[in-house]
Amino acid sequence: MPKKVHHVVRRTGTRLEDPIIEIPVAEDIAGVPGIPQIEKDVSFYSREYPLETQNIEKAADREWSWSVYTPEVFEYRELHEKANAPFVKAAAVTGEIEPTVEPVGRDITEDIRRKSYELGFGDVGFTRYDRRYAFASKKRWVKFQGAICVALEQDYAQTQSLPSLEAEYAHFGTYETENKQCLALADFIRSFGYHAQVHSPNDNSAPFLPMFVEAGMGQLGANGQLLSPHFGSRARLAIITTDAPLTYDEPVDYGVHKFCQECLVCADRCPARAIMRDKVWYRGVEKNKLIYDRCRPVMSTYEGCAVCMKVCPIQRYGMKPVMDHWVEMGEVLGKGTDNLEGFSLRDKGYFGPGELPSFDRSLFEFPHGTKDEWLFAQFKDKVEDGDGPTAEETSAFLKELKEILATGTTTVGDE
Amino acid sequence: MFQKSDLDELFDDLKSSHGETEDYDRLLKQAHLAIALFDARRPLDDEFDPIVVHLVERHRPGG
Repeated sequence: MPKKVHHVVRRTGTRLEDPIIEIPVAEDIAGVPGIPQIEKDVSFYSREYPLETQNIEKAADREWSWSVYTPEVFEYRELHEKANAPFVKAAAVTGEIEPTVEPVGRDITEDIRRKSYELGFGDVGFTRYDRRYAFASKKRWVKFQGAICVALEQDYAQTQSLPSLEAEYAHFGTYETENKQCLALADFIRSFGYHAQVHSPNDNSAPFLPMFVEAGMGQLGANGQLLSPHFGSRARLAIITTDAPLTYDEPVDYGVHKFCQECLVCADRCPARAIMRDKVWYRGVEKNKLIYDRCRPVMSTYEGCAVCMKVCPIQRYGMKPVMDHWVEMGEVLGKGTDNLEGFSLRDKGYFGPGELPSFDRSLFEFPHGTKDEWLFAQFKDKVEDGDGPTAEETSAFLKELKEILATGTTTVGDE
Repeated sequence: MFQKSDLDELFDDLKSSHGETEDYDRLLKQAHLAIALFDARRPLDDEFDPIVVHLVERHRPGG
């Protein structure tokens, strides 16, 4: 017997000319618009324990990642970094660019929306830039309050081949396209007489996801990704901030928050067992927290992994068919099938429903923290170990520390 | 229910017949959804491309 529908979400398609899609949200998975959160806790943690980009906070393992890539991934990542760098650099200074005309003095939300679709973005939303999520190193960089959230879908076929080099082409290739599109959209906004600052997806000013949720563009999935009504988690996110007059969107309840607890295919299938099945309250938000130390080594070693993205039914089939099926049959579409849950890992083979790979413990031994923190940790081990470090080891430690301090930190990289 | 071998054959078939066409992405999305509905013992409605319907028919388990 079909479930009772609590409400129906109506969203525009991924192109201007597309028909409206209607997504039914069953009564048993209806929740709050956006995400359950305690505002005062979000503010407290932001003030006392501000977030920092992983490119700084996790710099040691980010550098280590390159040492476990396959030669093919290594070569491709080098090519990508080279091709992408000029656009990331250009984005970093967009906040300084002055418009060359006087402000038009009207709300330009719809102009931006149309242009976003013309440029190829699959979804766009508007909200206030939430500075509580800004990284410590970026708090002073963010100039304007209006946030334009843009999502670019990555190739469907390539994504379904995860984990693979082909899927990495989709992942990083989408970033390259998105950076160019964001710069073009910023130029467009300036042509109305307003400032526009591009927050590159490869030099994030914050985790973008909370602002996408606030703009009604999806909800946080158990896999830690934005589940968009159009492409699930198969999208790359960027933000442009502006001082242009905008009309903000509202958060939406797509039923994802509770649906994920009924599904949990991502948690069951994660090769690294890195997704918590139970939700916890973290920094004022209720979510399925990911265990970074389990995710990172598998992700780095196995072509970006992202099995959690691949096996999400909303990514694979689309939100509407999945929610229709939940209402009509009370089942998670695809759950328990090879079509949804099967995946292969290089050198490990195929894993169908109920099967997971095992890994040698050494896979999970990797550097932690910033580069200097990791260097100190290694040196401390030597100090504590028997006779302590030799003169040569102490000298090498100081030399490497000087090099790290001279190089400094960078916020650039994939978040 | 579609097993890995059925899925491999179906997707190989789709790729060899339509992999080079502009329709491939759309057909692949539909094929995944059609398989999920088949596995859930649900019928495919008229919105499915006949190419996809034939593919599922040809490769379905026990077909």
